[in-house]
Amino acid sequence: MAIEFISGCKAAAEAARLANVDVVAAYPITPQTSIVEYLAKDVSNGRLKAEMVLAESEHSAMSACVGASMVGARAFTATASQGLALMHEVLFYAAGLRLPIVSVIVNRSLASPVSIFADFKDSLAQRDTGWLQFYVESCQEILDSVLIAYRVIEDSRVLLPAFVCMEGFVLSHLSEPVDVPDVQTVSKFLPACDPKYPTLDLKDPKIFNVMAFPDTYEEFERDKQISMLNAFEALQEAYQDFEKIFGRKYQDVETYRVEDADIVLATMGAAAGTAMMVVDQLRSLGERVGLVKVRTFRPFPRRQLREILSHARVVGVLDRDLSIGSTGILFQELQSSLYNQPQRPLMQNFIAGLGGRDIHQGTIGAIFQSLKDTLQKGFVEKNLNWPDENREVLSIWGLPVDHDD
Amino acid sequence: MTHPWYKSRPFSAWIPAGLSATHKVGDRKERPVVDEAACSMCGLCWIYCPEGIISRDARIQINYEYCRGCGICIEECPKHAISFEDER
Ligand code: SF4
Ligand code: SF4
Repeated sequence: MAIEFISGCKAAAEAARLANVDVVAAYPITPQTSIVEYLAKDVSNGRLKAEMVLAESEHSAMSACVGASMVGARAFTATASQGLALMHEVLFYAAGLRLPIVSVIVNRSLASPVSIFADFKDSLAQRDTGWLQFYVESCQEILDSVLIAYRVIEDSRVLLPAFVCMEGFVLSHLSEPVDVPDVQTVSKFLPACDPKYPTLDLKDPKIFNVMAFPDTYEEFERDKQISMLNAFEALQEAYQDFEKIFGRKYQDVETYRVEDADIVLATMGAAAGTAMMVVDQLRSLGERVGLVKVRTFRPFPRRQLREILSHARVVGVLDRDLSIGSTGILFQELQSSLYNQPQRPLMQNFIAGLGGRDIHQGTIGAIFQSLKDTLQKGFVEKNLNWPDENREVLSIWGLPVDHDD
Repeated sequence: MTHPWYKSRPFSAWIPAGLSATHKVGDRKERPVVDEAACSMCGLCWIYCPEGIISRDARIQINYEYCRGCGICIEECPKHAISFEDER
């Protein structure tokens, strides 16, 4: 075990090495590129004994991961943005074939206009593909989450692929002290790959991906749904073991000072760190505010969130994404989770940080102010809010500053 | 609903290999056989075989491991030198 000063990309590459992956298939894309570079170097200098497949596109990279996983190899890839969009078709195959592949997503917005900076649009657009999704806050959490992901998805109760998502540049190119465990310690937590699913085998030939007719297709979907929900159990066990071995504690939903909070802000990813600081500042002024960080987005921890949030009076959801024509995606999920509660909070959605705009203290302070106003009024005046809009551009373009969904 | 794989979870859509486990191509009811006495070595069957598995060195030879039994060679032979024989 050694504390190293490394970036998010390096932490992801170190995690893949520690997971002792057999196959890395990838295509470089900003801001993921250095993950592939680190792994290529590790493979070429013998630090990692793996097959490095430098594919001609992300569609091929994911196809190579599917093939590798089908022979029972532990497969790893990483991508972002346009690359993830190009993988889209194959993501369904990976999930449907029940292959435990891990892909690190270095979140970046999608063109057009071209942007290389962070928001969650790329991975959230893949939310219905049957992949687990984890959103992390620090470089340490990236490394840990890749190990946890392999352990959970290789469990025969789950057998589905997983994304570990970090915000581009915000985490991928930020260097932090990271506790990099040694291989022996990791092997206590994550045993060697032992596929618990039918694999390609010359001695026992099989035909994969056969057609399902209307009498069975629905049940295949249902099986994936059940397995996805089973992941909660596997995750709890993994978190407990992880804490025992490494001393770090994770939860599907992480809370900060919510116990007696009237106002709770919910978000995902790196903004949670900034929000915690703002919560502390407001608490010192006597405001009863708290924070919820959704770490596991798929499966969506509906029950846990219901328990945590139904005591709050106002809940704000900070989305670094937008489902154009509706609201933020986390907001939709949270609002629908709470709908059947006899007592439910007022809810407001805040869109910020798109295309890499910094989510700073001021943004979060404005959000809490707006939530406080809502608490005092007792009703939600504006469902969808843009707390950090660029008013200059809006006025040049003649776009309304005030509009509601 | 009688496949053994329906009994095991989690489901991924696979079935035990049938013919492909024992055959290089799918099942073939009949095989084309060349009557060497009638053959003029014109090479038309060699050209037309969609699988490209007819060879013509000293004589015409069909690679039965890959022949699909489509009968195109029979249709194309100007000398009617190829005919089907039952496989079973
Ligand atoms: S039957 Fe068809 S596949 Fe077989 S040798 Fe003739 S043309 Fe080729
Ligand atoms: S087409 Fe008929 S005659 Fe010509 S080479 Fe083939 S078998 Fe012989």
